[in-house]
Amino acid sequence: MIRVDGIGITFNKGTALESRALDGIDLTIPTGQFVTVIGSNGAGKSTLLNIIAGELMPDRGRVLVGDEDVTFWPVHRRSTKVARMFQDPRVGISENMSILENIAIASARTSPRGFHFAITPQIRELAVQRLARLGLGLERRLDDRVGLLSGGQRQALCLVMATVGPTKVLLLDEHTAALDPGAAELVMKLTGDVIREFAITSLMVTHSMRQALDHGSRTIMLHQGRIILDISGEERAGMKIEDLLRLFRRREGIELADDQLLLD
Amino acid sequence: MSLYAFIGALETGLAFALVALGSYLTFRVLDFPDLTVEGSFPLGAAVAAKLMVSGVDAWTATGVAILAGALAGLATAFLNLKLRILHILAGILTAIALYSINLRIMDRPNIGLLNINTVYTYVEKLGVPSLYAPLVLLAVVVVICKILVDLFLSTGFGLALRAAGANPRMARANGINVDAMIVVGLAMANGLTALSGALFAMMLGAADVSMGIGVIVVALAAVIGGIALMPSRTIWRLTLACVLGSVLYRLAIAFALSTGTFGLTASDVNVVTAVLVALALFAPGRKLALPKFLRARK
Amino acid sequence: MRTAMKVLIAAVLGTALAGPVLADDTKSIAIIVMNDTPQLLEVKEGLLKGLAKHGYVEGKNLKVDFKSAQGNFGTAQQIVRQFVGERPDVIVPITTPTSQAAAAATKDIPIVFSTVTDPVAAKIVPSNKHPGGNASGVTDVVPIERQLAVVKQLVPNLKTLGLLYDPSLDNARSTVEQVKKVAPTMGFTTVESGAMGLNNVPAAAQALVGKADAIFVPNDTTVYGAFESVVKVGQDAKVPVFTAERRSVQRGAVATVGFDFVQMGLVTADMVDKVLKGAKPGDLDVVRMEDVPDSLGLYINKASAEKMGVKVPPELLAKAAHVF
Repeated sequence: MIRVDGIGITFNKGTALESRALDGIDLTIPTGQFVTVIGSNGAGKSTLLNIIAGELMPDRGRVLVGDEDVTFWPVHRRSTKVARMFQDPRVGISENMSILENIAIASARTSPRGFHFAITPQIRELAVQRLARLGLGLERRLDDRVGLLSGGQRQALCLVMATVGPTKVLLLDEHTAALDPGAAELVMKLTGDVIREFAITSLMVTHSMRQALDHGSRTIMLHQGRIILDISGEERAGMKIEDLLRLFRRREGIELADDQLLLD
Repeated sequence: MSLYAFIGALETGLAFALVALGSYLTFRVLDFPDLTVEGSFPLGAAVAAKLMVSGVDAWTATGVAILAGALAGLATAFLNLKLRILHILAGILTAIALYSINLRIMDRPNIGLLNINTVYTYVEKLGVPSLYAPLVLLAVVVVICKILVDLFLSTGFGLALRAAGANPRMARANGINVDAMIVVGLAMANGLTALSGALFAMMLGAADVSMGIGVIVVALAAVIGGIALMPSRTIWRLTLACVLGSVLYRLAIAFALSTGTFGLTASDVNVVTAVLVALALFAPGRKLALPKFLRARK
Repeated sequence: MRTAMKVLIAAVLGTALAGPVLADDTKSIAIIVMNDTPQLLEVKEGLLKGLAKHGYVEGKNLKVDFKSAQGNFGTAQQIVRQFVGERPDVIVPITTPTSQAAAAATKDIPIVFSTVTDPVAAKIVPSNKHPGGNASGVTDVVPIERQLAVVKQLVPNLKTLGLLYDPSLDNARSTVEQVKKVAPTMGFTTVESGAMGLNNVPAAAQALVGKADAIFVPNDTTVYGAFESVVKVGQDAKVPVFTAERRSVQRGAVATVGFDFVQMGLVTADMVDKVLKGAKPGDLDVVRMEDVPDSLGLYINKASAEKMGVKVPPELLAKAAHVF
């Protein structure tokens, strides 16, 4: 379960570039829910994600994961509760290490690192199991350097790494945006499968309204640091992109050109 | 070269192999260019020598020297992590401070180790001839240290350390406390360096404040040269490359000095080092960057 | 307020007047060494002893400012400048680098240097006879023929002499050049092995094994810093090691003729005394220790010599100033 209470953050306070990136965000995501987040550039989507992930500290408000107040936990401690996938396929993995080593690192995310051997038959077996499900043949290339993999393969590996341990919370930061359309679709499908299979509480930031509506069960739209739309259930079920835009216009009274949000 | 020069080169190569291992940990694994070495090497020598002339046995003195080196590593880590000083500068600052600290420890610029039982004396008492005693002991120490480093890097903790150096952002996202890894890595590396300093001082017969000058260059020549000649992705092969690199470097220098046919003298040691490292980097498989008109037409 | 002011003015005037009054009786000398090595400290000891013999007692009528540069050239510069600022009666720099710094820093404060191997080559004085200017002193230039004669006596079948030194040290290099000039007249050839820095000393010594019948080390702080390793090579390979200085014989060199450092200090004190009594250093010839009668002593290390395969004739042992 993720909950944010009254989160606010201002960048460049006191200068000419001052901007209130988030202005009082209240959001509760029940366990197992898959939420998508959209909004134009500067709306605050990535900022919100970074605050939940621990890369930014809010000026006010709290972040709770499960029942714990993690607002000021440093990134490495936060990661024991919240897994994350990045947009850049090079950030989430260690290029010069093997696939197996990367998975070993990820699988120890929640437990303190000890002086046992890192690569054990159990880890190897776990890796084979999880990678096989992707259907990309990676389970046969365990000792290959990750640097040899394509962007889509890396993101698929990241997906496994983010979900291999007991962590049941996942933050997705436009994780398919840097991939070509074919790979993007594959990774998105795999993401949906994994989230469903392991009942992972997920928050996905995306630039694509299409993606936002097609996946998950709830969609939030941010605009100028506030949540202006929060749709789920029946209202959302049959929605099309024009419907979203109309809803937005009505709430905000501004024309939002739909190419401000990437369409596909 | 004579047998003595050969054995001497092996011994010195092995003594400095420990610094090479330490520099491998910092420069290559942690991606932290650590220049503390110029201070922690003589620190190990100073602490061991001072303790030994005060009556402490050589083994305990060496143990304390290792701890002192680890502390030096902690100091650099503190400067970098808490005071946010650039890694290269943090190491330099610690090394500079250690110059004065070493003088304080020794009370003079040089402590001679005449008529004192060193670790090599113990080996000689076991029956090993004095000429080979340092070689035997150093070989054993280097092998043990290398194996310990290899084992460490293959544990969960060691893997976390490798990740912290390779991609700190990814490491943090996987629950790894990168700062803690830097602390441990620097402590280990400088502990190894101080051990090297203590053992080398016992070979030299003296601990001297100026012993650290140029040590980092020699260590890097060993690491870079060794790995270039023996590239690998396996940890135990990489550490072996560092050890061999250190020994080969000393042998190459001894050879160059002994033949005299190249007209080389000791003053040329630095140029020889640079040439060796350049050659090693240019090692088999690299292509010369030829100017356009010399390249074959397709 | 008024009274306090008066007291303050009186105190200030008092110290100002007292200054020159005190200075009349008390002489001040400023001594600087590059390193705190035992040899140089013995020179200082001799200097103070000699001055005491001439009637100058530290604390009574002699102010002594003694500083060491701890091996750092930058620090040496600062110390010398500080001395110049304090205007002592004489500056006494010991060894070449500090003497050069002193000579460069002042042209009017009298300088009496000590333990400088070649003051002319180091450009401290233009000539050893009547140097002019404000500097003169004592040189410990090693009479190289006497030095090498000892080597030949103890190694009768000497054909090649190995020279082990740090090529970046001026003093050592000039001695090596001298040996190379004299060697052919004495019937042997030379081979050099340079040690750039302390850590390379063992390797440089090992390189001479098989190439030289004996090893000679000039005054060289680098090699002396790691001298034990040179002795070990000599003993393991049975190559006798000779030096140009007495303390290293104690540490294991076979033999040397040399000056006593304390005696050098005494001789320096004689010249300082003359300057304090009004003489100008420029009018005083540079004193060569080898000219001082009975200053050259033979020092032998019998035990180490045997380990290196040298048999010391009993007559020599009897003549020796000291046998370690």
